Amino acid sequence: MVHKEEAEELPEEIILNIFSRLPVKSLIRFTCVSKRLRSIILLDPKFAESQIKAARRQKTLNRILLSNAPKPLRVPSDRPPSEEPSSVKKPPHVNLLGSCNGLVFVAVGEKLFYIYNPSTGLLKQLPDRSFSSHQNYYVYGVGYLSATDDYKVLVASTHIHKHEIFMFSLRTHVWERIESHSSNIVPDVTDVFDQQGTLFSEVLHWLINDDFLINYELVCFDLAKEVFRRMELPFGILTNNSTKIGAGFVEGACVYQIFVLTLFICGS
Amino acid sequence: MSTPAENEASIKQESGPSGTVQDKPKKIVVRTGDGEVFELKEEVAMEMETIKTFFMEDNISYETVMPLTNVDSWELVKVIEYCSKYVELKNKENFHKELKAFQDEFVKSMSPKTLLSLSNVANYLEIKYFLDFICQAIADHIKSKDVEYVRELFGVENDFTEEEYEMAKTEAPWAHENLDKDLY
Repeated sequence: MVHKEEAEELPEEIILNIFSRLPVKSLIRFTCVSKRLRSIILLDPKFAESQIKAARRQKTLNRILLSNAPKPLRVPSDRPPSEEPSSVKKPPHVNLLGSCNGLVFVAVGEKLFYIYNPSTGLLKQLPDRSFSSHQNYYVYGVGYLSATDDYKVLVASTHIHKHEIFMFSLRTHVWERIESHSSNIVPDVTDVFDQQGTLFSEVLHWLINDDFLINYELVCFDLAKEVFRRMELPFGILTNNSTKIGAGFVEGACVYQIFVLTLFICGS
Repeated sequence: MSTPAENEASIKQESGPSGTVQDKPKKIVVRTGDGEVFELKEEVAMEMETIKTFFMEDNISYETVMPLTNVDSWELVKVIEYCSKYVELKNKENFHKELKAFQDEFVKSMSPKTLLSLSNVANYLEIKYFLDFICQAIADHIKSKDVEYVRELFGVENDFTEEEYEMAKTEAPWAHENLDKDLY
């Protein structure tokens, strides 16, 4: 058999096809092969997606549990238990800001932020950011913008009529304060059903219900345009204390499921 | 524009009065980079998207010899072997079981460099299932190898400085333990 020139490099897409089939331990080791491979393995969303798909096929997807209770992050099962990420030994409070393309964004305590990749078990710290009020007053969310190949993290609050909106872009790697003006109507955390926004089509959504309103409203944050907007939902509903409310997305459509004794669905 | 069916008919006519042309299985002819000419069964050739597109898109006559400049003859032999088997087993009941047995035998004595060459060919000829199979075989081979082995195998240059490499390594030292001791 005649091989072509010895020094011939394999096209990157083939290398990534091969890498996406590797177990976690090997992947982590091969982040030391070259800078480019390191950045792809750790941060590229397409690679993360292909790796998760391959892992699912092989049924080797590790189960990770993240909780809002003051517990440390549980790490992938094929890592020795003594090797917990040293920067997260005993976190005071872990808040899951959101996850996207296999990457999980986490706030620990009052000002620490991390990206966690459950497939590789690696934790990357983001720049610190302290906010003026407690994290329980914030709404937040995470999304990926395909046009700029960027991840953005939103943390926003309305507290005693004071707006505070911060955006973190992975590309610029800084927290930026977004000026609040009338079109930036930050939802009050007491009105939302879930602090974490639901991502759909590069927009974060929160279902809100002012105690005095029978109608529900949808507050959206456009990650690309960096503005909030509100939408009234075209139906009204009477609730009592035992009603469970939730918002979610069924693939391909924006649908809200509201559990009122029996399930019904409204489209928007 | 004539459809492939009409095209086939015109080929049969062009073949002339050489007898039972209708019964003859259609063949596609290709020439590899090292100058060898291969006759492929149409059903096997059509497993390769690159060949399929070449003939189907512009309704090129099957009499044309398609050049496969990036493929060596030994590589094509292996590809034909795999695809023929795949087509043969495709509609059988124990498809997966029999394919697995064939796959194990197929890669048995292949060197990593051979597998890499085949992955390139699978990519060029656009045979998805063959590419996936070869990539899986390579992944299985390298999973317990060290960083240097992978660099050499894929021809990737180390652009870390010594310190950067050591720092990266210390992030997860356990990932660098218990590896195959290998002769390059």
